[in-house]
Amino acid sequence: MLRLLLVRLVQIPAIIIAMSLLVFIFLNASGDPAQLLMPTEATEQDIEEMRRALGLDRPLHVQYWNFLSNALQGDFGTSLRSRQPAMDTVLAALPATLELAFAAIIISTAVSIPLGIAAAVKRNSPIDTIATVVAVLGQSMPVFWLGILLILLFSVTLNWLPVSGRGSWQSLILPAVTLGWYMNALMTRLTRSAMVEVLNEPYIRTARAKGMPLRTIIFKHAFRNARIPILTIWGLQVGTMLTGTVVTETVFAWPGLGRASIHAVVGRDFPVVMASIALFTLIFVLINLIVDLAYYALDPRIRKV
Amino acid sequence: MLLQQFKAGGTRAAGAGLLALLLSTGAAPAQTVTLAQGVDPESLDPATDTLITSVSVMMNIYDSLVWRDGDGNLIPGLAESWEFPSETQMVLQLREGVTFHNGEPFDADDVVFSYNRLFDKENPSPLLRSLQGFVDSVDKIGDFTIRVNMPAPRATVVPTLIRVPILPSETFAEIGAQAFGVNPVGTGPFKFVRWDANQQIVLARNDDYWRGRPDVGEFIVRIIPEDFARFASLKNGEVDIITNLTSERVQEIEGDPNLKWGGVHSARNMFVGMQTKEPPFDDLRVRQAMNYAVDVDALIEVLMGGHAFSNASVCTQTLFGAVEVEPFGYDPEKARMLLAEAGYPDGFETTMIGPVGRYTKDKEMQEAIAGMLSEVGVTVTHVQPEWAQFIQQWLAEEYPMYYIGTGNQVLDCDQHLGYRIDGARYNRYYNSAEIDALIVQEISEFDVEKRKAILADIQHRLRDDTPWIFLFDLEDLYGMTARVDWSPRSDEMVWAFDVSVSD
Repeated sequence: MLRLLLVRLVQIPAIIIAMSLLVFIFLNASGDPAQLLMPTEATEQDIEEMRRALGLDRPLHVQYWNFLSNALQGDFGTSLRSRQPAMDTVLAALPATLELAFAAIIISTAVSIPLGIAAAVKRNSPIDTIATVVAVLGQSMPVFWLGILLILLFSVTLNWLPVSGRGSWQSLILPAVTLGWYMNALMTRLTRSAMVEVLNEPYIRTARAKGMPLRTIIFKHAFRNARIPILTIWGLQVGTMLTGTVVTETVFAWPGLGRASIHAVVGRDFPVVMASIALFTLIFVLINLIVDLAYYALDPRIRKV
Repeated sequence: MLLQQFKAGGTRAAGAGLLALLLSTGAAPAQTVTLAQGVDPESLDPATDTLITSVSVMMNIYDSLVWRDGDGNLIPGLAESWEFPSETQMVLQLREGVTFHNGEPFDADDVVFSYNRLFDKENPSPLLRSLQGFVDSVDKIGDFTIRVNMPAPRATVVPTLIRVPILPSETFAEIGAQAFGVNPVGTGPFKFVRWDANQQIVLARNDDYWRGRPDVGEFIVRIIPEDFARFASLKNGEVDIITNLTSERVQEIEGDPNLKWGGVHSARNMFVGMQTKEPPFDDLRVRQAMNYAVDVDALIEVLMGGHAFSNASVCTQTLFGAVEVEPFGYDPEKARMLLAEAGYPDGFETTMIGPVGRYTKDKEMQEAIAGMLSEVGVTVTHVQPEWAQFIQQWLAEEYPMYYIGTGNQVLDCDQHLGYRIDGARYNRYYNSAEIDALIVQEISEFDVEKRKAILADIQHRLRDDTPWIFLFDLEDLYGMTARVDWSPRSDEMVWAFDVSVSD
């Protein structure tokens, strides 16, 4: 365990730096921030002056080196567009994203795992059909469309919930359901199939034969063995939720990281893009680390390796 | 209304009674007006962010030396009056007794500071570009008198001054540019209260505003990027005014007694530019053929829901100096004939670059135009990059055709010419020494009627020389709740001083 932690602690900065280099190269190849900042009638000379003032006239490797050495000291530079500290811009959007992602994770986990288990235990029953419908709808409906349908039903027609924005707990419900919808579908399907596989094992038959209560069989024997694949997908999904919320955020005008970072990409606001990439990468690798540690705790076989 | 009575009533008991009434009916404070727009400002410092949607928010906080009323007439702002002692100098008398929201008194130093910071080479501002060529420097003559120095006679210098809001020099020096960008202080009708990034900007009425107290007590700008969500928020009564209403929604609003819509002939026009310096578009007959081949009325009717105005002038019709010129009309037969005369009896292949998601129905518009051109044998390949790529490739003249719109901040025909035609200021895709010479005349002509005549001449000549496929002027559409009383402006500003509410 300690070794795993140590290895990861070395890997994480390396991954972040490698990511930042890749993004830096692609960003620079994709457009000129100075040109975007200046009105379209600006002359070449105006644009050149802006480039110089922003430090974009220096060779790329010098720019990257400056970025890296400052970033290592926690300074991600100043937004080219708002002239505010880049990391502050990103961090200001983090609480909204955490709030939304956690609500979505809680909702989808609380629905999908019990539903998946029930569907596996009572195969071909109505509840299994419900689970199938949830899985199909969840994986086939575009998030964008789902969000609009929910707004139409719950805000416009029923007038129960606000259309968009962030503030009261009511405003969290629709975006959280929308964001959790796909994860819910995926986890339901996965829980069901993992459980079905385990429930077909001979030791389950043995347990049933000796008259063990169903509850004990399901939770103590079956689910315990099914939870490793479930956890893997869960961990990946949590990462996606924290970093891939832009569509949901746009539909519901949610002031989160997704919108902030896409806006920075569209405007070629290099420092803000780099700051958000660093944060995204960190979130992703940290979640992976937590999942790995959880494997370790949950599966004795991994401990032996 | 209720809050006004409360303030006028004066006694605490009466106030408490009214407040209780307010609470018991569960009504929201009557004088809050919420605007929903698609884009959050980057900064509230006018030197940093020049996007029109940001400027619209800022003009509620700041005043400029000059301003426009709702009908587009020039009116005094922080300058009470002005005169031209010579053709290249303008002297302005500033308003006395005005204070900034934080109490700092306003005087000539603030004006000089607000202009001079734009000329700072170390911190170039995108706003400078709107002054360059019009204003060289601004000097203080007295505590409330300043002089604007022009590089040469400039007839549009007055509306150009609208673009520079006046900032408090001492406060700015004290807190610095970075803090000021998120805590703006001005002399305008509303004071800055709070800005939750990507969510909302809250402004409160400036009770001591020098034009008089605004009717609206609180003005909130909410950021709702998605068209549908913006409309649903309006329908739900969560917001009072929405920008960029889509034409499909107009009918729905007409059927809803709680809602209304407002449309205004915008200062922005849309067109397809052609690379007139190279074949095939160096041939006037080809450029004319392109115009005859496009059915502008059908584009307006089908794609814009009728909410646009056909226009064959380079200038939007709302601009000073704009004249109506003879439209080409839809005549594909004539187009084929002209193409054949020009040596393209079977048409040709070409490429059109255009943005996607920037203008109303931009993608559909480009495809419809290409469809119409294919009828006369011109096969168009589309290049539709996102905005940053588009700007780069369009400025580099990489493709022979481009679809674009042109806004106008000074509401004068000259700015359109400067943005898209003038060799001295633009110098892309089209070049005419004759037109450039006329532009030099028009910009230095202070006699209004003479200037209008020159501008009219330019527009007629450009129509005949046909650098573009002329399309239409946009109509800006706004959705409103019935309680709001406001008429949209053609400069895209939502100036809450002009908004009132009836509850």
